[in-house]
Amino acid sequence: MSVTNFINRTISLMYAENYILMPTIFQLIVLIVLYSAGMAIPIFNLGLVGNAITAHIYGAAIVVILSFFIFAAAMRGDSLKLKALGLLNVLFCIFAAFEGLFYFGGYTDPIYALMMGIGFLGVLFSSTAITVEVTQKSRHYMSI
Amino acid sequence: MALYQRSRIVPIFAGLELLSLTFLFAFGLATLLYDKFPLINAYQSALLSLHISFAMLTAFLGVALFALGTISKDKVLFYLSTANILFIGIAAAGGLLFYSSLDPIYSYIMALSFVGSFFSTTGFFFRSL
Repeated sequence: MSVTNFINRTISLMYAENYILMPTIFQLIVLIVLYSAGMAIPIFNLGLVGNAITAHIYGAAIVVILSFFIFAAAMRGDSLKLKALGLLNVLFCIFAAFEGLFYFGGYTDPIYALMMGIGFLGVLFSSTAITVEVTQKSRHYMSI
Repeated sequence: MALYQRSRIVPIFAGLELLSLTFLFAFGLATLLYDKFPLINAYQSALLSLHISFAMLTAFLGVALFALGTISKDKVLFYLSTANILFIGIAAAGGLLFYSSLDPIYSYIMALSFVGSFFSTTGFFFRSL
């Protein structure tokens, strides 16, 4: 089985079984970890070395991968709201990731860190919204 | 009760709270990144003042959301608005303690309880739509 085929089947399963909730909640949990690690860096003056920045970068990578899965799973369905929120999730993730890369990559102006925070807010908003939408839908599916 | 059933006032208030929280976060992060205590420049105190102003606005809107959640028939709205006002209370206490002691741990508490408040408000908004 090719990789494309495997990803296709996984995404189909995610939507068909209403499992879009699983990556979304996982994304929310990783977002909280990412945020705690990321906010600890400027608050406690930890610098861009050590545990906190490692947790932050790995968390960001996991969140971006999960956001692509959520977007793909939302696109399989017929709910326009979920599709729009999935697209918002991916776009805000990419925005925050690029701002973070600029900041980490040498442009050490604090405006990049600020924009990273705004991108985080967008991801948190869309992720929470998808969770609430899917939870409300799943009450409907419960009787089937 | 009639207020909740007839009008769209609940999502409007939740959306205003979300906007206020977004500005609160933006100015708070700017305060964290640009300000060094004691403050010497005018723009630094302006950032801190904007942060505190939006924090007060958020607290007032949080009380309004709590009232709307209490009179609504939906239990989830009530739980979410209660969680929201609790998180706002923790954040406010953390902010005031940070301002009096300048200990970074209180700033961290303020930052962490912001996530809870934003989560509850977004949930409230989409639940009430």
